Amino acid sequence: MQPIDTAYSGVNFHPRRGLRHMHIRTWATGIVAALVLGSVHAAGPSISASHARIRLLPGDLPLAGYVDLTNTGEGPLSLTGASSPMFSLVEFHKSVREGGTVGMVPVAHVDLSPQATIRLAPGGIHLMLIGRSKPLKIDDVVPMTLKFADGRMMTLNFLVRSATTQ
Amino acid sequence: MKLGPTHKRYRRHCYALMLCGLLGILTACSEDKSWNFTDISTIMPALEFTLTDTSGKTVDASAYRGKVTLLFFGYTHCPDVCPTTLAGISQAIGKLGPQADSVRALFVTVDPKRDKLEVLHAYAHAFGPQVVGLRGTDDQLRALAKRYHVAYSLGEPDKQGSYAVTHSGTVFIFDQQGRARLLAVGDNQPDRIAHDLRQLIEQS
Repeated sequence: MQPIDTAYSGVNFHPRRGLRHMHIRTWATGIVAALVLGSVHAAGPSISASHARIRLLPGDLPLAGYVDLTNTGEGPLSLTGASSPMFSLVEFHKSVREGGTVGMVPVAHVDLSPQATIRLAPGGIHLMLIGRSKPLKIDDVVPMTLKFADGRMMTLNFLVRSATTQ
Repeated sequence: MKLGPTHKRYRRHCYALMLCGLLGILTACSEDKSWNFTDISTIMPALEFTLTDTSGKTVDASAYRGKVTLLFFGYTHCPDVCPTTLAGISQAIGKLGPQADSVRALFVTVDPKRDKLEVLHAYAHAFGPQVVGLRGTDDQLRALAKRYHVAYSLGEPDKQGSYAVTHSGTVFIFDQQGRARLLAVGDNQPDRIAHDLRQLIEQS
């Protein structure tokens, strides 16, 4: 997992704007995030998210979900699980490259220090989505609930994109 | 001014030298290609295999002579690295325009137990008509993996019967004569792939 400069998400999601609101009214962060993103359904942890997407593969093959997450709050956050009504099982996995060989290992939690951005991106940590409850097609929107160690949750919409997207 | 025989000879020499110079520049240009990926032409053998394609037909490497051929090992239950690699290749091929048909990408499954021909066909097809799914017997797969020094392994199945697979993350690229040329490790940038593919196509 690689914390990335918040400038990356700043281009798209104005975390600073979210931040300013947060200093004034902490309770409002979830709503601010919802306004900025248009994809947060419930007030939750101080997180802004972007590029939430699923790469579609045929049949019922496992899929990968990717998203950029920024902890816009002042305390550390630990992402410990995820679920979606569209899948029977959602896990965090990490692709690991050793020499010329690649494999996947389960990831128990994804930690986000304050103001840090983490990219769940191809070739690294991703959501592994197993067992579709119904067939998916490109441009479908899949709700995904992220669960944090402190019990808080947030739901994001993931956009289904074609196999040939990276 | 009338030129004497010595002058004429001198002028002929000049022309000859200019021609040599021009040829030299042209040759230098064609040899001085820069490649994004690693040159493996002296360390890897030519493309050779016997496998089954997704129509159930036995195929060998001769079926792909005349095509710039990419070879990648993976499995369809691989949601991250395999589709990321194939998506990069697919986008690169898309950038080649009319030259796209000069390329084939061979996706060889290291998990033939789960990857029945139908599943493999749908998976490969999702990345475009130039991507071909291939499956082999244990012996065929072992021979191919040994030939290109790639490792793969299947883990122990869990309660749901799913198991982890490790496989090579390397893409081997062969020219239209089937000679091993380039190796790409974890670089899925379509522009960089397209650059090298284009050079290989134009070289043949």
